[in-house]
Amino acid sequence: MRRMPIVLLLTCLGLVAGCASNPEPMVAPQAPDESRLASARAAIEEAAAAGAERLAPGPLRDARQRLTAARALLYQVAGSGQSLSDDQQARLEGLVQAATLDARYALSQTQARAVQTKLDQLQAELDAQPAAQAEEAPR
Amino acid sequence: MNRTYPVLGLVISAAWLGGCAVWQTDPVPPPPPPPAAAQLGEGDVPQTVQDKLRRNDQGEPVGFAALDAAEQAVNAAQRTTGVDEYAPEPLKQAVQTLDAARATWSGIADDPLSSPAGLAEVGRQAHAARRWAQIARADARRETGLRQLAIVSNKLDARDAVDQRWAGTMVAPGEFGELVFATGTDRLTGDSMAVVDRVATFLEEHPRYRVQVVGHTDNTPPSAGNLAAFLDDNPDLRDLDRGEQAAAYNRAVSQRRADAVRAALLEQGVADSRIDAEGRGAADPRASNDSAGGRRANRRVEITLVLPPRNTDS
Repeated sequence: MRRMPIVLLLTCLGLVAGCASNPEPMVAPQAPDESRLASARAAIEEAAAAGAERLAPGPLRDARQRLTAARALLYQVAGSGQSLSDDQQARLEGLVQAATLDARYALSQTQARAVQTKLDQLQAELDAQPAAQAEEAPR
Repeated sequence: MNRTYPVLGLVISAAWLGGCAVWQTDPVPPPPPPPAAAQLGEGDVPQTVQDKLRRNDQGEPVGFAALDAAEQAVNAAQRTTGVDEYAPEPLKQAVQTLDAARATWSGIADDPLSSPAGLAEVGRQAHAARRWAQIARADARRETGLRQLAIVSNKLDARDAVDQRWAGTMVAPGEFGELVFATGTDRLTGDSMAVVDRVATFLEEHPRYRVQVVGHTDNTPPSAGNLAAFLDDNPDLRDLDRGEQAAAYNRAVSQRRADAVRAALLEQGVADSRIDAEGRGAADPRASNDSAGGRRANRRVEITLVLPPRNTDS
């Protein structure tokens, strides 16, 4: 019983030493290279900045989901410590291209709807007051 | 004692290994959660793509829904006005990608289920063709809209040129008449209400116009009683000299009269946002205050028509 404190002390020291001597992992911690997603990400940001959240939410959502899927694939492969296989490479490129196109469509739809909104507004202004009235003297 | 050292050695080794295990870290950050496969659409997950196969009564694949959708989108784009003129490149991409999708499909159509990768490729190409077609239509709508926008803007600009004739015109006192108040009050007379009606009618017919209502007084100082009452309501003015107190009194009177005109216009249905009401007191006479006629001319409320610049932001 008198040795119990010594045993506990040595056990704690052992735990701490185990932590301190924990070797570097076999696979160096490294986040995957997300630059492959840059074109899709830029297209999404451009569409969102133009107002796609309000005017083209559907295609913008599609673009973001595909970008998320592409990112998940990158991280999944990185987690396994391997590089992308040919199939994974093709799938990644397909997702990025599809996301970029979704975002491009979101931008076009946003611009088209914004123009239509402005046109409706000016047309209503034009219709509100026949031109002939403006030429009359104030009564 | 002889058994103590092996036991201690065993305990320390176990603890050392336990320390390693407890603090072992994951070398790669966890991936973001993937979206549900069903949300990915054609071209992403082979099973999802396979689900889009059209089948006959025997369950045999006879078509591919994603390809059908792409064909419909391209056909719609080709029929859309302005696509040829304003969006030829997206349309060309749509047609070429659709042709590629058809070619890929024809290569696996006999037994598409045996080629999930081929199906995925058709799905990817079909999605691209549909998106290019949608982009072509949207670009054409945008450009057509911009052209119409220019036409409508030109018409409005032409109207503005006509409208400009009344911009800055003081209509009261003037063409619409004169605003008169019951002596010593801010109550408009009956004749003045007719002037207000004319202004309201003009604003209804000219929706871009606003009005500036400015009240004025002559420089006659208020009676001692009126000034005392005014100072009771505004004790912070007591430190001013008599002339400044009289000026403040006249400004307050002119503001009340301008506000009375604003209230009358509001009752006629004019939006508050189209009315600016201001009291200037005796600061802006239009005649000499040395004569009774001049002072009468200076006691007035003016209404001026204002045409703000058009907001051309798109």
